[in-house]
Amino acid sequence: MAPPTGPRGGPQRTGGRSSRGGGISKRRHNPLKTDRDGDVTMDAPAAGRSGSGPGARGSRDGRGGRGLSRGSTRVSSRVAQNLRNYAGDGTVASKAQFNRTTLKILGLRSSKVADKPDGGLRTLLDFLERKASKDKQITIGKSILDGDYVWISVHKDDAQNILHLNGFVFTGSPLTITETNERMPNKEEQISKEAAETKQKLTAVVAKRYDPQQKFLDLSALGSDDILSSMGTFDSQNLAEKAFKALVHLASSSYKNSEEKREALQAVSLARNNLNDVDQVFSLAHSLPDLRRLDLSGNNLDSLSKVAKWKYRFRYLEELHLTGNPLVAQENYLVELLQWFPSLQNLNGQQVRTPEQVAAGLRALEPTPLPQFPSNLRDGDANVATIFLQNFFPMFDTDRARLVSEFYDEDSWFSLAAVPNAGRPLEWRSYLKFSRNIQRFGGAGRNPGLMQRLFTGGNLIADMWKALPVTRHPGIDQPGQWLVDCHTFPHLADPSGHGSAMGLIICVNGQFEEADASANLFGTRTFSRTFILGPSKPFPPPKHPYRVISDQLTLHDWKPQAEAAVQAPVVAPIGNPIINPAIAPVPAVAPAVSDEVLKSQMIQELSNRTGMTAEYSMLCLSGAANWNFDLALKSFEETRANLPPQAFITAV
Amino acid sequence: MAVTDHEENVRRSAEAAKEFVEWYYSQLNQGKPVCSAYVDKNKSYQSASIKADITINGSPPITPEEWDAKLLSQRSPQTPSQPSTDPTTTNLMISPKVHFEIDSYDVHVINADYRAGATPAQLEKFGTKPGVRMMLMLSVSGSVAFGTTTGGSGDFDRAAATTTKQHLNDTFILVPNWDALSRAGSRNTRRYLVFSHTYRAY
Repeated sequence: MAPPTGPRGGPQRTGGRSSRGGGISKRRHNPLKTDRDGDVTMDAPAAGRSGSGPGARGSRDGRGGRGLSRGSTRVSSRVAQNLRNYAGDGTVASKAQFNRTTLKILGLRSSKVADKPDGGLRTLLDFLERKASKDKQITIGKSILDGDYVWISVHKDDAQNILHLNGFVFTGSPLTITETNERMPNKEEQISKEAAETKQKLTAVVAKRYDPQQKFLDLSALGSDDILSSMGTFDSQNLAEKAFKALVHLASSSYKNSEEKREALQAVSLARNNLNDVDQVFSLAHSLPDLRRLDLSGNNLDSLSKVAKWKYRFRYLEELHLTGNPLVAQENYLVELLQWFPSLQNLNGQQVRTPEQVAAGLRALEPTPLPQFPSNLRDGDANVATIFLQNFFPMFDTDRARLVSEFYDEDSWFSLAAVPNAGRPLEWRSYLKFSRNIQRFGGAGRNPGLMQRLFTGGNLIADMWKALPVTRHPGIDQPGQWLVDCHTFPHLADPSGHGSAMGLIICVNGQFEEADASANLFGTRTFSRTFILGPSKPFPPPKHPYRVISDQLTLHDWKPQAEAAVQAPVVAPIGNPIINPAIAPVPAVAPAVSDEVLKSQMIQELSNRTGMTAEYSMLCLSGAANWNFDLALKSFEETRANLPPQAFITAV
Repeated sequence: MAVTDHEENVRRSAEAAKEFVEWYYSQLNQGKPVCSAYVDKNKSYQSASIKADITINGSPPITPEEWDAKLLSQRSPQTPSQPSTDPTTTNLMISPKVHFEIDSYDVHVINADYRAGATPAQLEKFGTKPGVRMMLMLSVSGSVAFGTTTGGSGDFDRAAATTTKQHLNDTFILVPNWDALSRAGSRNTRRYLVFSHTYRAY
């Protein structure tokens, strides 16, 4: 059985709805019901439901009304309903619906069915729908009985059919139907009227218990509150919890934003409320998450588990009182509480942490981006990556055809992905038609773009590159412009067809200037480009010992944040061979040494790798290495033998 | 037919990439370990002594477990002081304060005749099938957002996260998971494993 809050086609209406669009069969459908209405032409709702049981109460039309929980007393139910309205967002905003028309109908009050528990509303609606549904089925939307008038909402195309019924006689009473631009009365507002008194009383309770000077809401000993007691709030546990929720909601909802609330309401007392689990007052954590002081003393919390629902809530809670609860007799409860509430400084009047400790602890809870190291070049003794990049980008800017002929063959793959990030208004048209962003491709492997936007073989690649805008990459030795990571790897296919070969993966992050002369567009674009290099095929005789097997270009137009610890360049200047490519040269621009977090991360990392103490790690990094991690590591290797035993965490 | 094989390779590689990207970043966003995605954890590759090369923001190579630990420390730097011995159960309790958002990815087949780590039987079995024994190069682009969670709800606070955001460029070389390919019905196993991982977030 569907709940009474169901839509119009719910159980009450099944009799009348079962044969949509068939007016004749509807009348035949359930003759018994018509007897109850005393109107043989009526297509009445299901018999016997209305008026019996609590489900029919609280809602005048019995259609969209809230069902009240079974078993509650009538008074309790009403209070609970009212409380719920305030605890949640009681009022429902009336949204303008452009395709709806509102009609007012007069005449129900004087009809024969006005005595029905729902005022006869449902019977009237069925009558209207049936009479209006000549050419097509017409369904009435929202409806409400307010005073003498019935308000209904119908689709604007159906309004004429209903208005046509103006003057019809409904169970002995002529109907007056008019269109109106007035706003339909709100059911929730009706309930609010009934509940206004409750709200007023609760507001009075809050006002009485709030101290704006101390920013303190005293919800202690609610059981002895006269107003609340007189309202029957403590008739049941359920009701008491709802009352609490409503009080907290009233106290916390009058602020414009969370900052204002945080400022105005910093302390709450829930002392002497006979709480045996904070679950009963859990909503406090939702309504006042930034609370700084909380008094739970004199309750009946007998173990930490009874407070555990608030674990990791109240991030800013500095002061907590639990005296008078059985749990304070337990050992080690402090340790847990300190973990649960990272800002906690004062427990039961005792200082348990200093503000400095709290600050340090909170900082440690924040996520910290991974440390950034300079380029990591592991391209073997021949410095293949360095030499390749030194050749590649200048040639890409000036002579792409030659670049293809030198480094690409008929098996090379190229594709690009354009990822327009919000930010700089650069034109993406030149790239988007080629963009092979599989993330955006529907149908995964079946998408035709997978093949169409993949360029295999030097000829296709060269043709495609002609269509790309002119670019100018900075010199590979320019500081702060490049981040390059590369390493060799085995298991590529050997071009000879026998065995496997070594490959080199080069991941380049950088930016270039772009000029689209046809559109007169200029700008800087950021990109990532990944190359897989492998040995060249023996025939025809290659220009270079290696070729590009795969080239993926991603254009993302990323604007680095000012504080981002992007560090710098790495690749040695042309004609200045790198002695040890595993160790990046000193960046021309020192890393962001002002960034204390980064420094501490580097110290930690160096300490982890070398076993040196933090102090020595710092000395090593801040010395000649100038916060270049690789140099510091190198310097450590060189001076390792001379370091005193105390330089290491565990003296060897 | 070479063309058909090429098309099959392209199709299968895109499917493998999709599968991998969806799984991998969902693990990261849930704070779950990803070390099982690397060849180091696979028996076939272990017996062939093949290990993954993982470089994070230019760091010297690390192991998959160290990568999981780094991810954990990125989420909550406090936790590494009490490292868990079992990386598979490490960080499930940590609230997702770091969120990876993927904007794009693309994949190329860089060796359609990959053999390393496979037993002769496995090679025989898949020897003639295109789109199976592939070495793939997958590049992923997106962002890493650093947020804070209020209370213990554990929900990622996007509003707070927008203030700290890094660009992400992740590059993987993927190789077949021979075990998953050989076993029938092993749908939930990773079909490709990471042989090389170059991570840059800046």
